[in-house]
Amino acid sequence: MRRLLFLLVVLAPSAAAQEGDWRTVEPALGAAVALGGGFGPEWEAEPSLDISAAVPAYGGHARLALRVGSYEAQAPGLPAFLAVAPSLGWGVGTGSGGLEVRAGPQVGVLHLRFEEAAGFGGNLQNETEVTVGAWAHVSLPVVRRLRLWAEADVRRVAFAEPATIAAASGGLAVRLGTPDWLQSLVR
Amino acid sequence: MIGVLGLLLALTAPPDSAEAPCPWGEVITRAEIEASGATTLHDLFRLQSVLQTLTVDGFDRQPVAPWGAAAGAPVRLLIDGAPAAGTTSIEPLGVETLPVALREVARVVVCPGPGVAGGRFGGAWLDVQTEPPPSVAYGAVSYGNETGDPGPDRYLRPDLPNVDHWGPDFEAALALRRGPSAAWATLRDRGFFPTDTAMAARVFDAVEGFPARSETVGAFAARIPGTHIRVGGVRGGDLPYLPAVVREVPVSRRALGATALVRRQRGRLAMRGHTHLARLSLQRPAWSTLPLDPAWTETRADLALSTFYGRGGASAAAGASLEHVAAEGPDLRNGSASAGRLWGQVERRRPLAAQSLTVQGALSESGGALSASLDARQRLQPNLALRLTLAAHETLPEEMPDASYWISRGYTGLALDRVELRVRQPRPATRLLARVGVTARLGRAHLAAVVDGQRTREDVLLTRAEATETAPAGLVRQSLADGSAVRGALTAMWSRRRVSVRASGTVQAATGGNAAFREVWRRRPVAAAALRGTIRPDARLALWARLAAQSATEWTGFPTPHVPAAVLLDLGLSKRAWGDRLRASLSGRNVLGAQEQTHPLGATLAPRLLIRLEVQL
Repeated sequence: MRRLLFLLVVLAPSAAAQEGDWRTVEPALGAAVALGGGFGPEWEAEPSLDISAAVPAYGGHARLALRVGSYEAQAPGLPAFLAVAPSLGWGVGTGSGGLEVRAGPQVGVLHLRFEEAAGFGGNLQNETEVTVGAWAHVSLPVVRRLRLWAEADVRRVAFAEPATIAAASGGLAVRLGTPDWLQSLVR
Repeated sequence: MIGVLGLLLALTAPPDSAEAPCPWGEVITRAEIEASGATTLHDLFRLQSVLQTLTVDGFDRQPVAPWGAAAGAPVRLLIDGAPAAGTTSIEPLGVETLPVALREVARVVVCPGPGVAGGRFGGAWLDVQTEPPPSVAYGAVSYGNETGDPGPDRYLRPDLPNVDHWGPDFEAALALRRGPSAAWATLRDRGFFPTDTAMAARVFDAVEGFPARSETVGAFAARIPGTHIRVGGVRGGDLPYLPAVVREVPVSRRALGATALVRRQRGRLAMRGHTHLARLSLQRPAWSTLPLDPAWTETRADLALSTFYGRGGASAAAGASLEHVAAEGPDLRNGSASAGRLWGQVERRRPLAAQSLTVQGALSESGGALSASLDARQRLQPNLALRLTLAAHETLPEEMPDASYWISRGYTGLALDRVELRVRQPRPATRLLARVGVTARLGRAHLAAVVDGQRTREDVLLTRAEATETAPAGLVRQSLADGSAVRGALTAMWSRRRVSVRASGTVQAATGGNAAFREVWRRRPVAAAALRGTIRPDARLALWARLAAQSATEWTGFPTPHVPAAVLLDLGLSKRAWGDRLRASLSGRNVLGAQEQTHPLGATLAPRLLIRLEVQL
């Protein structure tokens, strides 16, 4: 976590506004599977839904992402829960012949909503915690504006016993010119 | 070499204000408030280095003056140069109850004193200067979470504690403008859940259900040229830490106050006056489980008038103020405290030098007090100036009555079996101060170095507590702290178009005095330093960082007296969008995960992330 924060601080000064900032927007939809880590053997992650939007900004790409997935309990008496993880990321990249690669840090939160669990009625039904992590993204043009993408990301969740969640995801994205109204909104 | 140093070091712009000129202080600007991602008023203390702050639970911070003996040496809170009240006189000072919204804050002047502010001469003050929100309608929501929640583990390890979180907090404003006049109303709703392990046993023992500090603060302000009016109120269920009982106490808080500030100019003559009325109460709420009912109500009235006359290189000012507090509480024999003051100031200015003399006489039922200050400035070279202040200040107990003042008059609303209180009528506090400072400007850099020595004699509350299963038990007794201390501070700032950097460092220590004085000064960090900077990649994005370090403190008499040193890294990101109608900020506090603690009974604040979203139309 400290290295990531250091990276943020070092990268920040280079993040100057560029001429092409905000000109395109890349909404993406996909699915993610857990690669490892997580919350121990008591819960198993189901495939989750990934939604994101990336825009060129400040010398790289800024993106808002949302991952929604559920965790099934593997032991009797424990509740399943829904995990909702919005994040804000920024990264730099390079490209060649349509292939683009980007990577950078991200910060977000992980919100867990637990099902009712017998014997735990007195507990609150949700938990929210800060996440800090990194992502690497690669995409290829498929047809016209449609792109195929794949990504790997890792997040450190700052629970009392910190947890690490790693996931691989993939899906389709569309690269669009940012409408004027949206450019004026985000600029 | 000097040039390089000059580029790295600097001084802030002179932090003067029309209502409270302050040559030795600092200004927190609106731009830095936004860049830092601050979501609360008390978070603004991280943007200054004049006042030390104390917090037990992290919800609010009590400012502590840099001169004076008491760990809670009184700091005056002003809004637009006039007195403001949100907390009662039986609890520590806090800013979260001030009737002002974060969006209204144009800048904050943080002044160590001495000087004339709020219609009187005295020590440190904090002046929140407001402006009407720039839009007709404004709304904000913010939320903060401390790291360290148990997550799914709470079903496997029930011993894991929950952690503090802030909010969701809401802020709203409506504003109308016509020419130079404006009227606006603001509403601020705050919530905090204090569940840190350091105090969980105390707060869960004190309440039924889940412990929370929640309050709603509303204000209406109107401004026409020469006249400011502000009416504000606070309502909520609170759980403040009260030093007199060495624990958090559930209270139902109510406060309503009004301030009118009038300025008039007739040629070379300027006149200013304010009146402030407030009624504040703390009552035992139904959700309290403590056998303690503050049953406290106080009414404050404050009236001040002053005139200024300037001609050529000379000016004269004079003022009078009258303060009255009428309090009601269990067994309180005499709930009335009044103090009156007369002050005068003469100043002579020449192209390269200026001198001023300020004298104040105060009168109350305790007797009279005389204070005086001499201030001299000399420009040695175009970019180099010297400043000297000598001050002798005496404060009467009736001028800033606190819990010990009322307890000495029989008040028993804070009496708990497990804590013995030994308090008598406080005596006047006397403080002598000598301060010398140098300011220099080197290209884009500004530098200021200040050294002061002080001699103090005042009553303080000292605690001798032992840990129990829930709250500490022991003795709280009043002692006379008598001694001397020295303090040195270095402040520097450098800025260019997109980048600004500020560095500050302070070293302070008691040089002599009795046991009580030395004990109180061990509660203050000997050394503190901070480096903070802002980068603006464009006009609508700001990246802010602050690295601060503070030495350890010792709180003799507490079960765990050692409060460790800490190095804190704070980060902020603020982005404006939609033609400045939308602003989102993201801030991290103590992101390195240091043991952030300012009080031996207090929380060790873990890294926390705060998010704020603002819309203005």
